[in-house]
Order: sequence, then structure tokens, then C-alpha cells
Amino acid sequence: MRILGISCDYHDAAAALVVDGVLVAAAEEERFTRTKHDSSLPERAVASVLAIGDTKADDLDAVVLHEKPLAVFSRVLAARQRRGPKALGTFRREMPVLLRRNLMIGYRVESMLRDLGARKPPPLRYSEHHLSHAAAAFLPSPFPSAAILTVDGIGEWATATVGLGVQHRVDLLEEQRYPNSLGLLYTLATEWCGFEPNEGEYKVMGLAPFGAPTYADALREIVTLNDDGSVDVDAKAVRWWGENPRNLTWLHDLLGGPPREPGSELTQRDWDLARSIQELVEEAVLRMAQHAHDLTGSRHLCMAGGVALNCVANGRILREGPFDDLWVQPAAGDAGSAVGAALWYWHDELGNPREREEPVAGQLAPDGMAVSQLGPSFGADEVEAWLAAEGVAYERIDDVGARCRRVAEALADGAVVGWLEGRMEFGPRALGHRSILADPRSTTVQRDINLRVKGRESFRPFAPAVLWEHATEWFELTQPSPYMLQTCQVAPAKLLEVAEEPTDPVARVQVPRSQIPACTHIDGSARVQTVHAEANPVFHQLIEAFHEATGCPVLLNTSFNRAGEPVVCTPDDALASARAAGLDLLVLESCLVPASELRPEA
Amino acid sequence: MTTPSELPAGGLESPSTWEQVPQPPARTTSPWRTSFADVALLAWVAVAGPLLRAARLPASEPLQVAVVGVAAVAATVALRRAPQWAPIGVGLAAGAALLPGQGETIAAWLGAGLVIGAWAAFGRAPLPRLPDATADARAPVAVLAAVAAWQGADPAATWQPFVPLALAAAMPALGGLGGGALHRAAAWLGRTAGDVVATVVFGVLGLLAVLAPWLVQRPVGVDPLATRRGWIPRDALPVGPRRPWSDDPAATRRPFGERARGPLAVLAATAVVVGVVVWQQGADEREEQAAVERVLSEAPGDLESAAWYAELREDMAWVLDDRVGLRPFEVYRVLDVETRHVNVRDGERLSWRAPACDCERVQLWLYGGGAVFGLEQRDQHTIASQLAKLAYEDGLVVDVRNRGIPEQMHWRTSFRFSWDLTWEDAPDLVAFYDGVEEVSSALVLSERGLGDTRAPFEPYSELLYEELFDVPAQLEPPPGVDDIAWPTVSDLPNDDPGRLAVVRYDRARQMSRDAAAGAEVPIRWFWQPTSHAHPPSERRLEAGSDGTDPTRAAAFSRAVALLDEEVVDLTDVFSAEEEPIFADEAHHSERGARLVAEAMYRVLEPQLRALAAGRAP
Repeated sequence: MRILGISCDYHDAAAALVVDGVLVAAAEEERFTRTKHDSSLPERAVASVLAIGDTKADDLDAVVLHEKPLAVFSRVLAARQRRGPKALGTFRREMPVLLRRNLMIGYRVESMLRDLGARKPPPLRYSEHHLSHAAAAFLPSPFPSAAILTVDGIGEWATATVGLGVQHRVDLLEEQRYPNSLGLLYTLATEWCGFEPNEGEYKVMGLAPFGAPTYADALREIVTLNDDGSVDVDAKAVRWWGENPRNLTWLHDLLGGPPREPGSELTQRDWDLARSIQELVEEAVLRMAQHAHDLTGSRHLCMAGGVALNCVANGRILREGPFDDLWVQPAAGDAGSAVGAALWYWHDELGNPREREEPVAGQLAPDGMAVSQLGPSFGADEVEAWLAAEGVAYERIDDVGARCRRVAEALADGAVVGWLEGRMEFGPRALGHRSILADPRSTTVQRDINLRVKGRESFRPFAPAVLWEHATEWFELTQPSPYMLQTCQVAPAKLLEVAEEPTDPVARVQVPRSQIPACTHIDGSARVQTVHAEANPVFHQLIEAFHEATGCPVLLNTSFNRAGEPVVCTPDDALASARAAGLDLLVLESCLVPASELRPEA
Repeated sequence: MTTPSELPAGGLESPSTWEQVPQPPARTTSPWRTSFADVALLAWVAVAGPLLRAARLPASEPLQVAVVGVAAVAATVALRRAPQWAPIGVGLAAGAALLPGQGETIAAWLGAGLVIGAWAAFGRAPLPRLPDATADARAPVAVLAAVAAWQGADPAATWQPFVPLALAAAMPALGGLGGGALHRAAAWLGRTAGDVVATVVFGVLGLLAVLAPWLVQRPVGVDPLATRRGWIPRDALPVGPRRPWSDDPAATRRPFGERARGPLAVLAATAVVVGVVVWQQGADEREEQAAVERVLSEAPGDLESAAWYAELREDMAWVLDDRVGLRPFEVYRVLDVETRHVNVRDGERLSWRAPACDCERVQLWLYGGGAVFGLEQRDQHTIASQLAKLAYEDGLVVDVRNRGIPEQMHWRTSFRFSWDLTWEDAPDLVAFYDGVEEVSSALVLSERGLGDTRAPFEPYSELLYEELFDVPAQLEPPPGVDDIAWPTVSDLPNDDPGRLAVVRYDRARQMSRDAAAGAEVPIRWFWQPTSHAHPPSERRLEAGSDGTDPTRAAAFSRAVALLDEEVVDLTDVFSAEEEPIFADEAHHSERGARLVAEAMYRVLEPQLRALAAGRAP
């Protein structure tokens, strides 16, 4: 049975194909349209997952949407009714969009499938937004049963849910409802710090260690955090959700002035606000996790929803929470709900059991997400033919070991390398298939990649990809982290003494704090990806080669894109991005493109 | 197709191909695959206007227009890739289908709309040398189609909707001019109009969906976003409707019987409602048809088995519809209209006219109410036509101008006479033929206990208004009306409606007399006969109707007895007739018109002959 899952119309539209319960392919629409966070109907993503799954549109047995569009409509209407006459302008602007988009979703999906060649598209089924998140969190997880926690800005009405997954069943037990939303609160702070909502949340997370929680009291004036992790948003504050919060002068007074203008210099207010909201969210999520544990008694926790991408909070749950283990859906945002919708239909609705391979001792426990390798891939011959047709000079090295040694040498020499290998990742993280790689021991590469290569803020930290065999030597890790979804401290043995801590935040970033300064945040933490030979063999070999060359089993791994761009998908995306970024080396499967092709001056 | 077991479970093994990164899929080539917007635009341009017009015209059948229109739109969509002239062929066929039943305006409109709509919606020009339309043409074409619909909804409009349609046809054709500036301007206009329409529509919707609930909820402290604090057990949540909006994520298909239950219930309820409405409409139509058949079966002698009579009733119903020709509270004339048997041009009912001759043509203006207009007569058989024929048979050429207006009293027709004198050369002679409305008005005044009054209050007009516009008889008085002293009745009591009618009639005749004197036109007044003076023969009039009411009969008798001697009383003009003459109290058959004309001619003949001879009477 072939089931297509779809999420769209808010942000991060995506499609997923499940065949007989196995997640065969998944991809975000942005990777194909090259529009970041593209929310449109994922026509090209659907076409891609169908091609990967060798499935014609008419072969589909079911199409499942991640939410109930009319419930969204009713919630928007209720919100406008609460605002009364002041909402008439907003109502005028958004109603045509909602009518055309949400209420015609069945027609739009059917038209899309007909455009893809279907003569008799299957009827559209509707999951529920947080149910999709919950299914995406639990059903692909390695756990037979687990508590489930989903937290995001908003679904239909729910903003957070607690549930229980047992075998193939997903049951949501409790929920918080709009307008009480932790995710929307975090988005508000994101906007106040001058970042784009639904895009810059992880920048706030990265900004937080620079500040002090001086706005904690101010935030608690507008939101009450209960012992069970639920939040009660002040009625006055609910007005945020109905209008542009920038116009609320009382919020200016509370949060130390108006929002920062995008692109302007960051100030102490922004650092402090980021720290304050981050601490509030961490505390809330910890309490939610405790509540989920109290409610379900489970030893395992699965998480999804946009807030589950807050890897600092995830790390705290793992370290301080009541659960033995945590599994976070790698595409925890709305894109992942396409996976959840399809899996929910197969398991929960149709009652099909989950099947997992038996874990092998010492190896990564198998889950249903295939280490996010769910997108399209390109053969070496195809890439070579394309490079030749484009007139791009390259060197082909088919032997993986030789290729990895060659790239590792370049990395050790300080090269910044673009790396396209295997299937594209599904989700926001680059996990070694569409990555920019560098030597983490360098004291200058963090600034260089941020400013020159990626064209983004200099304070942004980078993630380390470490061989699982050496992970505990370098980081205070107790569990594998193959999806880069939790932070931990760099192992004390690898830390360096900081003689004098500068007061200027920009200068603090430059201070080496460990043997891998490019991947160590100012608080000594790192967002770790553990790389496993059985799951990620080529990337594992590359890091191993780097380890052999340098003695360091860690690489700096950041997504292969520039600021404002989606992660690259195809070799031509990669070539264009590498040229714009001025990389030193580009690896496209077996083909190595030298710097002379990427930087004219080289 | 790969079997599921051969597929990659994500991860390491995957077919590697550029096909996994597809370009936006090409649109399929099925002729039925087109966008909703394309079809909506085509239907809007081609069908909306004709359908609206058909709904507004009493004699049209919107259902037929809808059926033909939908079929034509479907055919146009199916043939959108056929040879260029296909929309023209479909348009001609659709127009031909509608022509017999709906007339040339609707037929031509649908045909032209199909061609223009297909051009704008699908882009391809209908003829080889015309340019293909760009997307910019869509908005202005839609707006111009709306203008056409607005103009064509007026039943009196004939050519007017074709002006905006012609402009719409020019929109795609003008594409290449001005570097696309025309298109941009038109598209801007279309977008602006669309924005305005959307603002109005969603503004109104906002008032209903946002403001109204807010006004209800706010005073009682209801918050539509109110929710329980903290975690809410899912079981405690209200159960909403099922898919796709329910909190219940059930997605499996229920059994067909269960699924069909709801739609079947809705269908059954709809069928009952539609059945009742159709039955009620059918009952009305059957009653109307029965009345016509009754008239035909018991018609005056000259109507017996007259095939044209049913057509005349249709034509007259059309002309007297207040959306078409009769607007007594707007203009003192019947608006121009063309039908098979009833034609009005320049505010006059067409009359028989003597052939051109090298002779003195006497001009006679004939005024009155429905009897002069000729509610029961074809154009060539009204009193005016008969009068002209009689004169011609007698060797006189008299152009009798029928200026009758149904439901008018003498003072009203005097107004029209005065007005006609201001913009036309005065006639040689003017004649008024009326009286029934005077007595009817007096009876209404009497029933209301008012008697004569100097107040600007005309109860008969009020009744007319209620009849035409279906307003309640007793209107709610405006605030403060009690403070206004009601005019007292002093001249006449209300217990003698016959006398009341004549007094008021005489005062009104003073108006027509003064107007005629001012123009030095001789004037004659004729008091019209009624069914009350012909009771033995008028057996077909229903008992209890105005035509048989003894109270009314007494009022007419009393009025006739009091008539001034300068008013020619024709009350007994049908006394020798044994066959039925009247269709109701006042309106008579063509034979009646002939008899009335003969009586009038006997009175007028010397005067007409003198006028024809160029001598003063």
C-alpha cells in the first residue's frame, strides 16, 4: 500500500511516501523551488518522492494531509471575532487567502495529482496537526512505547500535546489550546530580536548564551508557567496573535524598547531577551516532560513540533529529565508532519503493526527515519556527465577511501569544502550529505564561514560531526545523537583555559575555548552529530580519514547553503552555491571540483 | 513498477537519477483538464449576463438559458484545442437554440459571450488573424462582462449590453498596442475593480462573521478564544463535526449506507422544499391559466376561439410589468416596448393610421386609462384605431394618437396632456374617455371615511402603489406624524361616493379644460361605460368582483346622474349587445372598442369634418 503524506500552507511544505509502512522518501518543497520555507502545495516534492519510490500517481492508495483545514479556518475566525471591529481589515486581507487555500485543499491536491498523471486520484484524508507531529515523533522512533510531547506555535487549536505511543497506536491524552502557546511566545521574542519569525528561532537559541536573563520577570508578566509545564498567556497579551506586535507600545515598555531592526547591530537588550526566553522555554519543556512522564509512566520520550528543534532544551531533558532516552523527530517542524500523517494513516488508522530490525550491539538502534537520508540522490556517472557538459574541470576518484583521504588532507590544510554525497537529508539539518565541512581546530574558520562563506551573523555557532567511537572522549554524551538535535558540553579534557573573558560579545566568540574552537559555543556547549559507520559510511570514512591525518575525529559540519537559501539539492545547486560562497573544494559524489572552478582568483 | 520489497527504505540504497528532481509538471493535455479560474471566467462572461436578464424578464425562462449556457460552456471547454473557429460555432449553435424562446438579445449575448470568454480564458484567438489573448486581458474582460450584465439586466435594454461586450472583445485584440500599456491599464482597472468588489464582499462578510458575533459576545463577556487553563484532557474537548474539520481524526471510509445517509437526508429535504415551491408555482400558473381559459371560454363574442387572445394576454402582462413598460409613479407614459400585439413608441400605443394622402389630416389626441390604452385589444383594434378607421371609412383622415395610460385618473391624464402641449404642436382636437377610476377613487375615499379633501392625499394612487409594489396596506407612521394636524374634510361628506366622484372629476376637468384653452384646442369628454350597465350579458364576471358589486354599481349610477351635460355619457353604449363585452368592470373587448368608437365618432364627426375642411366648428 502506497501512502502519500503532505504538509503545506503554513511553512515548510513537504511530501513523504510510505510504502507498506516503510518511509521510502521525503523531501521539502523548498529544496526544489529554491524558496526558503516554501509553504506552497509541494508539487515538486511530491513528484520527487513518487519518482524515488517508483510510484505513479495512480498507484497511490491514500493521500493524507497533516491537518484539518476547516478547524484552522474556525480558529482564525474565532480570533478575528475576539478582536471585533479592529480585525475587519485583517479579515478582509486573509479571508480570500484562507478560502482559496485552506478550504480548497481537496481540489488543489486532486489537481496536483492529475497534473502528475493521475486519472483517478485517491480521496484526501485528514490527520490532525499535532496528531501528525505525534505520529512523526513516535512511529519512526526505535521505542516500542513512549510518552509523546509535541510543542509548536499552533496547529488547528492545539499548541502542545502530551500523548502515549504503544506499538502502532498513537493516543493524544492532553493538549494546550490557542492562545496559550509557548511556540508563539518564542516567535515573538525572535521577532523582537530582529529575526524573521519561523526562520530565526535557532538564531535566538544561539544568541542566548551571550546574555543574562534580565527579562525573565517581564516575560512572566505576560505568561504564567505552571508546574506541569503548561503556560497561561495573559489575556492582554493575546492581542499579539491577532495583530502586528510591533504596534503594541506597552510591549515596547515591557521588553526594553521596540524590536531590533533586521540587519542592525545586536545590543545587550537582544542578548538578554534571547537568554530570558530561552530559559523560559527550557524550563517549560522540562516541566512538560515531567508532566508527560507523570501521565504516562513511560521510560522513553518522543518529541516533535517546532519547539523540539530547540536542541539546548532537548539536551536538558536528556540530562535532567525523568526519561531514560529521548528521540526527537529530525524534521520536527511542519515538514515532518507529512511523514507523521502518512505513518499515522498506515499504523494508527489501518492498524498495521510497526516492524523494526533487531538492534545490533554497539550499533545505532534502527529507527524509521534512515538517518534522514530520504531525498533524491545522483549517480557518479550522471554527475560526471553533467560536469563535462557544463565545462567544469573536475577530478573523479571512485575509490571512497582515496577520495576521503584526499578531502581530509584538504580539510586539514584549512580548506572549506562543499560536500554532496548520497541522498539529500530530510529536515533542517545537514548530516553529511549536503554539508559544508571544515577543520574545527581552526580559530578563524568560524568567523570566516559565517561572514564570507555563508554571509550570516558572526555569533552563530557551528556543529561538530564526531565519530561515534570517539564521541564520549570529546563530548559529555551518553546517547548517540545522529540527528544533531541535542547539545552537550565539550568534554573537560578538550577544553582550554580562558585567561581573560572579553566583555564584547563579538570578541567572546573569537576566544578559543576548546581544541575544536570552531564548534564550541561560548558556554562550552556544542550541538553534536554522532556519525555511525553503519548509518553513514562514506561520511564516517571521511571523518576517519581526517582523524588519521590530524588526530581529531571531529569535523565542522554546517548546512550547504548561504544565508536566505534552502540547503542545496542538486549538483548544480551545489556548484552555484559553492561559487557564490567561494569554497576551496567541492565534492560532488565521486567528482572533486577544484578551487579554480569555484573562485576565479584561485 | 518496483515491488515494495525492492524499494529503498530511505537510507543507503537509492535509485540515483536526475528524475528524482522533477521540474514543475507539465499540465496534462486532456481537453477537460483546465483550471477552475478559466472555466469560471468563461461561464461568467458567457452565461451570467443572459441568465440574469432572463431572470428579470417576465416572459423568459432562466432554466432554459442556464441549461443551454452550461452545455455551451462545457462544449467550448471540450473544444478549446479544436480549430480556432470552434467557439464561434458553439456560440452560433447556442444562440440559435435560444433565439426562438428567449429573443435575439439573450441569444446574441450568449453567443458573443462564449467567443469572447473563450478568447480571454484560454488565450487562443477565435479567428486566424486575431492576436491571442494574454493573461492581462482576463481581469478587464471579467469587469466588462459585469458591466454588460448590469446594463442588460434592465428589461428595456436591447443593444446596451453589447457595448461593454464589444470593449471586452477589444481587450485581447489590443494586446500588442502601446507596448502592453493598454493591457496593463486594463489589468490595473480590473485589479482595482476586483479589489473594490472584494473589499465590499469581504467587508460585508466581515460585518456578519466578525462584527455581529463580537457585538453579541462582548456585552455578555463571551470570549471566542476562551479555553481552559493548563492541560486539557482530550476526552473533554467538544466533539466537532467529522472530517475534514473534526478533532476526531477518523479517516477510514464509513460504509456507503452510512455515508449516504446525510446527503440523502439533505437531498430529500431539498426535494421536499423544491417540490412545495414548484407545486405552489404550478398552482399559481394553473390558476392563471384557468383564468385565461375561463376568459376564453366565456369571452365576449369577438374573442371566442380567438387564437391571438392568449398571445395578447402574454404581451400585455409583459408590457404592464412594472419592470418593463408601466411605471405610473415615475413617468406619465407607458415606456416604449415592442411585442406581437402591443407596441408602444414615443409613449403612445400604436394605432391604425390611414394611408398617406394629399389631404388634410386631422390630429386627435385621445387620453384615458386602461380602456383607451386597450388592455383587451390588439394595436389595430383599440378605440383609437377604430376611431381612425371609422373616420377613414367615412372619408375623413384622422390621426388618432392613443395616449391612454392604464390605471390613471383624469387629473393625472390632464397632467400628461399639459406636458404634451409643452413640447408638441397642439392637436386639432383632444378627447378624454374615462370615469371608472374617478368612481373607484371616490369609493376608496368613502371607505376610509374621508370624503373630499384638499390634502395632497390620493388614496387610489396609494392602492395602486400597494398593488404594484406589494407593500402592506397599513404602513407604520413615521415618528412625529401624530403632531401634524390631519386636514379636515369640509366640502363633501363620504356617504355619497357617486357625487364625490363627479365633483372631483369636474375639478380635474377644469385642469384639462384650462390646458386646452391655453393651447386653443377644442376638447371633448366621454364618460366610459361599465359592466354594471350591461349585467345580463356579463355573466362570466365572477360574482363578488368589482364588475358585479352592487355598491359600486350604485355609485356609478349616481355619478352618471350627476354628470355635467358637456360630458358625453356612453354608459349605455352596449345596451343593445347580447354578447359579453367586458373582461372586468371597465375593460372591454375589441368589439366593445368598436362600439365605443362608433358612439364617439357619431359625436365627433361634425367637428372632425369641420376641422378637416379647415373651418372652425
